[in-house]
Amino acid sequence: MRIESAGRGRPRLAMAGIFAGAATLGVASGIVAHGADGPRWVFALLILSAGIVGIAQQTLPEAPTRSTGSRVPP
Amino acid sequence: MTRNGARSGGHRSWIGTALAFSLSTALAGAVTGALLGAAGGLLPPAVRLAAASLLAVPALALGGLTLAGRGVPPPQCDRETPQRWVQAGATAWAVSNGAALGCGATNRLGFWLWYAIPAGALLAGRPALGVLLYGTYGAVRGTMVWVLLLGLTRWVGDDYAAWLFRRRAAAQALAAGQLVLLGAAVAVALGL
Repeated sequence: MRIESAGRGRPRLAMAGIFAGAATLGVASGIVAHGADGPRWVFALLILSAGIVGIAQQTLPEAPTRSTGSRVPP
Repeated sequence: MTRNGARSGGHRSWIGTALAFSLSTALAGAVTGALLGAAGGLLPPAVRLAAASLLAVPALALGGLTLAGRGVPPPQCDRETPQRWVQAGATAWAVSNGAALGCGATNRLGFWLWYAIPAGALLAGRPALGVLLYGTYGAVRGTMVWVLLLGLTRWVGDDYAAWLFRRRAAAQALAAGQLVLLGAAVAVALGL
């Protein structure tokens, strides 16, 4: 398995960093978003959700971000 | 965007293609969010508040079911971008594919949590908040191409697609947990 030999720590660390970055972005954006009708921290959670979905969708079968347009998953 | 396809035209070519893709994705998300926020502004605040409160219930239920291993797939256009877009050229494909993915609704969604984005942008009722929310989604999704091309291909090799696919269960759990958290937050903050 190439993944095992490539070192398992770094990809996990990178993914954790991405999630932490998305969380930070979400909270910061929520704080900046003055004037929201609802409480700001709910909007911050929404922003965090947007970041999580954007990342999580990369795990879909043949995610379109890296596809060439095929309609059929591998 | 395949690594080989993106890099086939040389270093400068794939960077330009990836940049066009990222910008298009972020812009499409921002425009979609602005339109939804503007449309939501036409609704009375009481209606938006009530709708958000009601949506907390399915959010809690669907997130909980997914965490319990009994999740149901979300309604979605389970397809990828049309093949003919690829034949239009790398930059045209990057722009059109980015626009489709920045909006997201016409492609495979995979996660119930995605629906929180258009719903949140609409119920926020302000174009600026819609841009912030939906634009974040588009920007993150568009930025991931750099993580794939510059990071994962280096760390896990050309098999990065399979590496990502094997983490789908973890991604589902994370998204479902966030959906439960969001539903609970809305229920607490806005009331049921």
